[in-house]
Amino acid sequence: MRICVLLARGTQTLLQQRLFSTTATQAVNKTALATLRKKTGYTFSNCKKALDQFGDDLASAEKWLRDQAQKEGWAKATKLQDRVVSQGLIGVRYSPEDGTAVLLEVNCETDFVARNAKFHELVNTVAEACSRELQLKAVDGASYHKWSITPELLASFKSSHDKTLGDLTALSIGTLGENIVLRRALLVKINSKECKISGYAHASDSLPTSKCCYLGRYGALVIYRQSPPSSKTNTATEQVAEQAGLLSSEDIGRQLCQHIVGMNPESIGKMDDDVPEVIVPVRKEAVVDTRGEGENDEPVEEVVPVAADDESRLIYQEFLTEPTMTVRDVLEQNNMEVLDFVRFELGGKTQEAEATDSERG
Amino acid sequence: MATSVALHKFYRHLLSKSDFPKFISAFSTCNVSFAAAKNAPVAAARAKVHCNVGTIGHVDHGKTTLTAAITRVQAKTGLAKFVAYDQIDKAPEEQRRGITINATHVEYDSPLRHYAHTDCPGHRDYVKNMISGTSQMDGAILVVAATDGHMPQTREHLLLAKQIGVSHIIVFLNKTDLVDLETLELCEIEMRELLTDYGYDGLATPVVSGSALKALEGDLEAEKCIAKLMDVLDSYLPEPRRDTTSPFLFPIENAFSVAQRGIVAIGTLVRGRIKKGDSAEILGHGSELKTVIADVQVFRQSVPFVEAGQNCGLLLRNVKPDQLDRGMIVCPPKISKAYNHFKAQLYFLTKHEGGRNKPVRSGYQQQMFSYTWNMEARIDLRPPMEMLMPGDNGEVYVALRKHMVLEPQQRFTIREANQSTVATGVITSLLPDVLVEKTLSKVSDADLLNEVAKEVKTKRGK
Repeated sequence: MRICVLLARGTQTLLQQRLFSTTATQAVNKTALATLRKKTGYTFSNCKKALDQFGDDLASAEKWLRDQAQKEGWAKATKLQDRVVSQGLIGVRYSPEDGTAVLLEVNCETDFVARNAKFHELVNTVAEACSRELQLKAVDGASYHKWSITPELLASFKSSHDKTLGDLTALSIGTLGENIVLRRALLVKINSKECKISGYAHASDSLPTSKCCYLGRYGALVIYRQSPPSSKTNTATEQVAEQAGLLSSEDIGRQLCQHIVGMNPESIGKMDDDVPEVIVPVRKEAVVDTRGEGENDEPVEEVVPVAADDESRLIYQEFLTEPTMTVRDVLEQNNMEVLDFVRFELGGKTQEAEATDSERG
Repeated sequence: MATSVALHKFYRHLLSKSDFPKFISAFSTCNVSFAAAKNAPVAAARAKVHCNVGTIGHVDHGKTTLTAAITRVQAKTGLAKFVAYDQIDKAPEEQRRGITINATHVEYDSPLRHYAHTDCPGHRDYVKNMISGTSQMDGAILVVAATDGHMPQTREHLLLAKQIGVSHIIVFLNKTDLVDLETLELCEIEMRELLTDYGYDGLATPVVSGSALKALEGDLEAEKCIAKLMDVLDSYLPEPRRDTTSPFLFPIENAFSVAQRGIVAIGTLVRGRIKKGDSAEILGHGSELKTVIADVQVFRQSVPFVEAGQNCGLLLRNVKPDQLDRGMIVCPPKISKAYNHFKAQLYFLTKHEGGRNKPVRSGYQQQMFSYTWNMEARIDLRPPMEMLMPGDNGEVYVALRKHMVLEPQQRFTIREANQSTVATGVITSLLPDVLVEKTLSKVSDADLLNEVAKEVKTKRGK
């Protein structure tokens, strides 16, 4: 920074000298500075430095600035690396066709930067790079596979312009002047013959969505299996679904993700309880739970399953879109089974447990 | 390119003229501000007008340095208490109406006014501040380092200022000791262009340049920029309107009959001034009554008038006891109106702040509280918003079961059955009435979100 200051001072005296000699040069110079700044968006002091080296050769000055940007970005990144990053965005990108999904978090210092288009672009690029990385991975016969990506590994991924994500982040730090951190990413690939995947990002401000990447302060992915309804019951099920005002499986998948973002379940809950004999004790348990909370005075005789206010198992929570039903009711109606889900909250804890590749299915 | 140079000269010309309105503020000294009286650093501030200002700008452009420099320079003439840089930058979390806001407050005086200076680290903090409504900013100082020029996120800063209703912006070009005059001029032109792009009057916006750091270090030459900034604050920011001159607004707390005289309504005058003999309307809970203020009493003593902030009783003519209800508003005829449908900015408290732990979706029904009244309200989110999480803020449509007196900028809260406040909001605009037959659940979506009805209908699959 000191050097930078000195340089700026140096240019100042230089320019003052020039200013006194001829007014014509000054006008050209000012115009050049304005043009260069407008065209490139780099800081005034950097544009000045460029012009200082290349005089009025705007093309060379611009080229120099762009070359310099990467170096400056890294310098700035090193300088700012200790500053707290508590804001940022969660990015969700999923493709039902490829059976791939990415959930990631990029942090910055203020939510002003998180709202800026340049930051959105960075998150999009990171998501894109992750998707490309996923193309190379194989599921190896399992129903699905999850990879938790460390920040170091994430920074080494290449973007479509053959730059590493680390380089791109440094460039953004240079432009936006805030510390930016690629915090975490989770990659999922499914065997699309067996299961489906859906995603959702929640933001209270309208954030742009581009190239299938959704941005927000929360994000969730859900991996589920849907058994095809037998041909006989097909029409009947559809009718029931229509009557209940329910939607297609993709919409349900999305609503499940929204539910996961909103209700923050900790586990799926055992679907084994689904066998008819076990239903009654489960219901009793649910009733007991609410009574334990002291929030519901309903008598035990009433065998209506009531989702407890602090229920942390997904399938026993009341469904966000239709609070009269539990998630399990919705899953049953649609012949669906949730295999796994992931939820990211901005600034939330990274799960160390997920650091190692987990394989299930 | 020659035009830009010419334009710039024009700006300069304007700038030099902008010092003239200073004399206007001289009239302001006669006004009394309650807020100023409470916290004034010097006794003389009692008679000064109170203004709220804030700083916005990039993290490294010197907002805090500038704030510290202002207090240091003003402290020299006893107009402030010096607050050092490291004392400002702590951003303590403070509680306002139960909401935690990250904000720092510093106060100082100009010769003419008292300023409360706020700085928040993020967009969400400013929006929370605006919604909870304790200090509407009368103006903002946008700090830009002349070495960098505006940053990409400066656009977000200006959008924020628009969103929270800041109509007057002053630009402070900082770190001018590190750049030459030309850069400074270009930087100024660029800022004026940007302000104009975002709907501000870029030509008229005052731009003050200097080095906050130098001023903080005691450089006499640099201190001039602080004096200039204070002058501009005094002259460019409009004077906050005095509440006693607006039409009166009197929310009824309760009412009782006085033998042989009539009905007395008790309450606190929110704004304006009520005199004996004023004609008035009583609005709210779906009814509209005409009346005359037969008498005004404070502590059972008849007085000729009352002013904003006073608790009083109003003797109302031509009103029957069963016609009055808590929460009705006494106001001048044909000024206020009762509505049952409006648009608002709503902030949902986090669990930590005592709010909900679950999100809210359209069709959410709870009691809304404002002034002395409460009413059943139905809240619908503005599409494409599907839910609001605790800690989120968003634009919502609200429908009330009965008509109440509402106006833009009115604050309200939403409480749930257990009396805990879960949301706080501010009315942004009033909408055409909705038809409420029996319950709010049956109000048609088309009515609720008239301009976007189609989208909602298809989304909900109804």
